[in-house]
This record gives sequence, C-alpha cells and structure tokens, in this order.
Amino acid sequence: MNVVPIVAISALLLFGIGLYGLWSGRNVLRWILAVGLMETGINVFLVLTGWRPGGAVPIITGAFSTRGPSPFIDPVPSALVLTSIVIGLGTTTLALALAVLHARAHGDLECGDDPENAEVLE
Amino acid sequence: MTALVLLVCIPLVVGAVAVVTVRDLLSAILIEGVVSLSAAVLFLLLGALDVAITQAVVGCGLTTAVFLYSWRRLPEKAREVTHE
Amino acid sequence: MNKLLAVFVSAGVVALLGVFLLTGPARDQLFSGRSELGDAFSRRDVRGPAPDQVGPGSRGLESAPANTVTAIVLDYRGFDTLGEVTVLFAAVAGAGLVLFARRRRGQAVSARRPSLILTAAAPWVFLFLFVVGFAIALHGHLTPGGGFPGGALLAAGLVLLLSATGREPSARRLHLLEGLAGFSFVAVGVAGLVWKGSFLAHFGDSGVLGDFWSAPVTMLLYLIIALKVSAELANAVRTLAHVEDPTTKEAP
Repeated sequence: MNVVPIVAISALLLFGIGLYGLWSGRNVLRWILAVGLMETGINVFLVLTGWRPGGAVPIITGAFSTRGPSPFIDPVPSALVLTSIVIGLGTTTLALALAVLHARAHGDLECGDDPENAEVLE
Repeated sequence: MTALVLLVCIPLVVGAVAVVTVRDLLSAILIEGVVSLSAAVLFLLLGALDVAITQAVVGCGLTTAVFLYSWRRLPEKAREVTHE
Repeated sequence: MNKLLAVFVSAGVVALLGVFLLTGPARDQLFSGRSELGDAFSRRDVRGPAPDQVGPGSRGLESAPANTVTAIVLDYRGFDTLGEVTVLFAAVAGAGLVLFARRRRGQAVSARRPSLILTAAAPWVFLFLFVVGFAIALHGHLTPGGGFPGGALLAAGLVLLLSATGREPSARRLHLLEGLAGFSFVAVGVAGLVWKGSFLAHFGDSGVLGDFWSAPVTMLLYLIIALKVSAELANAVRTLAHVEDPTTKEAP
C-alpha cells in the first residue's frame, strides 16, 4: 500500500472518532478531548497534503536551481499547521477553564438534558 | 517508509478509539497525550520537522499538562468514572 | 441508542469525506505535495525574481532564513503571527477571567509538599530546559523549531522550578514580561513600516543564507515570541493549577 492512503484514512478516522466522542457522551471534559482528536486528525491531513515522495525537508542546506522544480515539500501546510497547533492549545485552555467552572457550579462534568434548561425552554 | 508510517498510524487510531471508550477520565487524558505524540512522529516521517517539534512540545507536552492541572482542580465527584 | 446514532453519523461523515477527498476530482491536486505558492516560497521569488542558484552563501535574497517555514511564518506572514499570539493571549486571559471572576483573598497552596526527587532534580532540569529553549528559539531561522516550542520549553522549566519550591509564579511579573514582549513585537513591526514602508518588513541587512546572523529581525521576533509564549503559558498553568485552600470556606 501507498503512504498517502494510509495516512489519509488514519486522519479521517481520527476526525470521525473525535466526532463520535463529541456526539455520544455528556461529559464536558470528554468533549474537549474529542475536539482535540478532531484537531489532530485535521492537522495530520493538512501536513499530508504538503508531502510527496522524495521531497526534501523545507530547510535550505544545499544549493539548488531556482529554474527547475523545487526539491522541497510544500512548506505552506506546515506553516498553517504550526499556527493551528499553538491556537489549539489556547482554545483548549479556555475550554478547560470553562469546564472547571461548570464542575464547581454543578459538582460534576455532566452536561445536557438539564431539568433547569428544560424548564427555561418550556 | 510504508511500514514505519503504518507502525505510527496504528497507535494513532487505536489510541483515539481508547480515548473515547475508556472509562477512567485520567486514562483518557494520558492516552490523548500518546495520540499527540504519535502524530508528532508522523509529522517527522512526513518531513515537516517544525510541525513535529511544535506538536511534541506544545500539542503533546503542554496540552496534557494543562489537562492534568485542570483535572486536579475538579471536585471529587467529577473525577470519578462518569459513564452512563 | 444515542451511541448507535453517533456511530452511524460519524461513520457516514467519514465515508462521505473519504469518498470526496480520496477519489474525487480534487485528489491529484490535493496530494501532489507541491503548490505554486509553496514553490515560490522555497525559491524566495514571491516579490521578485531570485538568483538562478539558491543555497548556503546566497546573498541579497528577499527572505534570508534558511528554514522556509520560518520565512513564511515571520517574514512573509508576520502579521498573521502577531494575530496568532494575540489569540493565545486572549484565550489565556479569558481562562484567567473565568476562573478568577469571584476572587477571594485566600492564599494559594500546593496540594501537597513537593517530593525530594522533584526538589533535588528541578534546578538541573530547569537549567537544561532554559538552555535548550533559548537555543531552539534563537536558531529558529536555521533549524526546525523556533519561538513557539522554545517558549513552551522555557515555560515548562519555569513551572517546574516554581513547583519544586512550592511557590506560584508572580502574576505581576508574568504580565509585565508578556506586555513588554507584545509591545516589542509591534515596535519591530512599526520599525519595518518606518524603514521599509510595510508593517513587519525585515528592515535589517538580510545577510548570507545559513549564517547565524543572517536574519537578525527574524531572530529578534522569534526571541520575542518565545518570551511572550513562555509568560502566557506559565500564566495559564498558574491559573489552572491554583488550588484553593480546603480549610477556607467558599464565600456564598
């Protein structure tokens, strides 16, 4: 088998598993973990779109001709994913702070189907 | 190359399944760290060295640390197994 | 029942995405591993023509960092990185706001005394993390890594040292460091605006590719980012690790 299908399918599976985790449970901390899984899957997929067999790491260590095709892998997805990882940490921190606040207010991490919510919605 | 990639993708997917199915919250957090580390190795194999280092330090190390710190702040009842 | 539905829905979404992305018409373009823009970044001819040969020792390129990803992140797309750092700051500040909204004057205590292993090893591990963090941040234009992992390592060292001594990092100092770093980032940008006519333009001499001093402004920016990220992350850990003294009652 080829590298691209293996990694692409793993990335999609990671995204799908995260989606399942987000959909199936009621635990707020598990939601944050599931969003982290989806994020990792998307990052892997993006980096994969920049890869090609035989492409060099995008750091200039030897002379190359700028008239021919570039010997490096595509550096644009790498730069995007670099940003994405750091922002992911920030959003995770904010989400965790909200989860801790929720747990202190309610005593547990369960969320959804709250009787108070149902009353408000009526 | 293919064998190496396969070797890294297996813990990636199996770990992800474990994160959403394991009953203990602390185990789920730690397994998520393993998944992130596998992703970092995968980035290394795909030639994105900058991303690999950032994922290993920020995505795997610090995110897990932040999760663990907030887990420690939870009230006792919330730390317990909460699977319906 | 709920879980069965979740399995079906997520499997459906994955199947749909898989069919679309792996067999659709966009497939060859998507997985070709090269793009016109990426090649232009690699050759350094986005704004104008590059020399026929680019390699270590090249002079006068439009962007000098040997690491193309760094060149994109800080030279071609520096404004975006300023926004990224701002988002990180906003998220950490939001976390602090949420958790300290009803702040009491209670003293923070660590959950338990640090163990002997931690107190004995912390100074050495801190020294190691400190040196490696600065080295990664300062060589961001030549080697993989850069300010974000470097700053994260610095933050890890700081938190380790402080948890070994059982104290919290001083919020005031962290905020000062963070504010100074953010201000310096914008100041470097304005300097580029004044000398080169565009915000965050590389105003120094772009030097010889591969040299340690080849891209001084990029190096300075990555150092600033490392300091800012370390202050932010140490602050985030401080916010989340703040354990209330269990003996004091929460005010109603």
